Amino acid sequence: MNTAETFFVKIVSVVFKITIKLGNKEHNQKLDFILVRSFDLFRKYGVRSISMDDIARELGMSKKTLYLYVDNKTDLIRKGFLQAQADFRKSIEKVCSTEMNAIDELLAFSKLVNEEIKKYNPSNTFDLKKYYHEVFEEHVNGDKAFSYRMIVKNLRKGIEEKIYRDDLDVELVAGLYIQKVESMHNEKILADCNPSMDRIFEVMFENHIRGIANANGIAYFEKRKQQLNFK
Amino acid sequence: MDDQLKQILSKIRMLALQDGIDNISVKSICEKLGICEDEFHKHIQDENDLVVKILEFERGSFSNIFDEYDFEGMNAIDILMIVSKEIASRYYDVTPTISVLLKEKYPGLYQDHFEKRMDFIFMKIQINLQKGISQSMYRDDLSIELVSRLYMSRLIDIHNENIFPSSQFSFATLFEVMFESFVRSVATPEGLNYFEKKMKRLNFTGRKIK
Repeated sequence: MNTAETFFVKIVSVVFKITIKLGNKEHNQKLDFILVRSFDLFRKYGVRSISMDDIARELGMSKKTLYLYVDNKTDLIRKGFLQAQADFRKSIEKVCSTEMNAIDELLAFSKLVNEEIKKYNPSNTFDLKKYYHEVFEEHVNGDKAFSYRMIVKNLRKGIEEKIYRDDLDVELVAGLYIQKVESMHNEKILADCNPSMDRIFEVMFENHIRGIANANGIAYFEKRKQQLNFK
Repeated sequence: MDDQLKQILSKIRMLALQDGIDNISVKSICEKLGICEDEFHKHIQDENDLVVKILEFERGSFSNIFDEYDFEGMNAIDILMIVSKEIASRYYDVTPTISVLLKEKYPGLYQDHFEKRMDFIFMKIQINLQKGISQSMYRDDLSIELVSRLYMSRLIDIHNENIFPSSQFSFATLFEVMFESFVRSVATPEGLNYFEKKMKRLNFTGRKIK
């Protein structure tokens, strides 16, 4: 191969790579769009009651095009939930990277979790669990493990900042708290007294802080409570 | 429920926890108790009857704590601490770990027991909260019903084998962490001060209870 031929091959190769890259970028953007919109639809109407035809129509594309991006409905649900999970994690990590103390961080974190859970209709969770069990398990376990790690980190931070008690059983307290935040939305025992979810959340959050904070932490929380307009 | 039946049920509950519910038989129970099988069947007719009685015994053992103590005039935190200590000392008789083992095999009987037990605890927690508020040991801005329901809801969680498997978390440890967190979450500064002093004095920690 002479110099001109080598140069030509190199140019073709670079152009090819750029085309692939641009193509991938476009593909990924389109996939993101599909996943975000589909996830909203699943959340709104339930995973069972919405079909691939409905989704394609809502997205303004043919079913054939939709299948260029996902293998089938289960694949779409799985990818949609994974994408939503990744976005949620980014918001949490953003909160945790700011310069707030552990109590404010926990408040911001818990509010995000609460807002996220509020978006789910319990019957959707039921359908997901029943008809797409593997996706459900993957989603719930992933969320749980992540939230647990963040709470453990928060507890250690609060102990270090001397606003949480230093004799806490960090792992156990984290497990109990995560469980409560998760299950408060679908427990009959709480629904029976008919309080708003926000009110349950406030009481639960306050109980948790008072349960783990030392005198300094409680004093700080009392101050914040007024600003936050807790009832 | 007569004393011999109570003795039998107490032994069965202990064996169920130690050996596993599937590994105990009428024969092994009778051998351990030194009674004959006829004697056993005088008290217990069949498997269902046994389950009903085991669960009834658990509820009875728990409510006995309230009958045996005169809580009148006592402060609300002391009452909670006494009840908690008594639960620990009567561990085999009152622990729900055994009833949870029966949940899968006898869902109807378990559910009935569970509701009765929860109603009782719900009532007692509400009384305790009212008492603590009137004694200024608990915050007066508490929503009694909601706080009681959250406590109950947490109790349900710690009984859930899927969430807190007993192989990893002992009921005593879970209960103690939950108990301490509950008192701290409802107490006034005076109540908290009292609770901390009392904890130190009594060396109160359920984590040591096995």
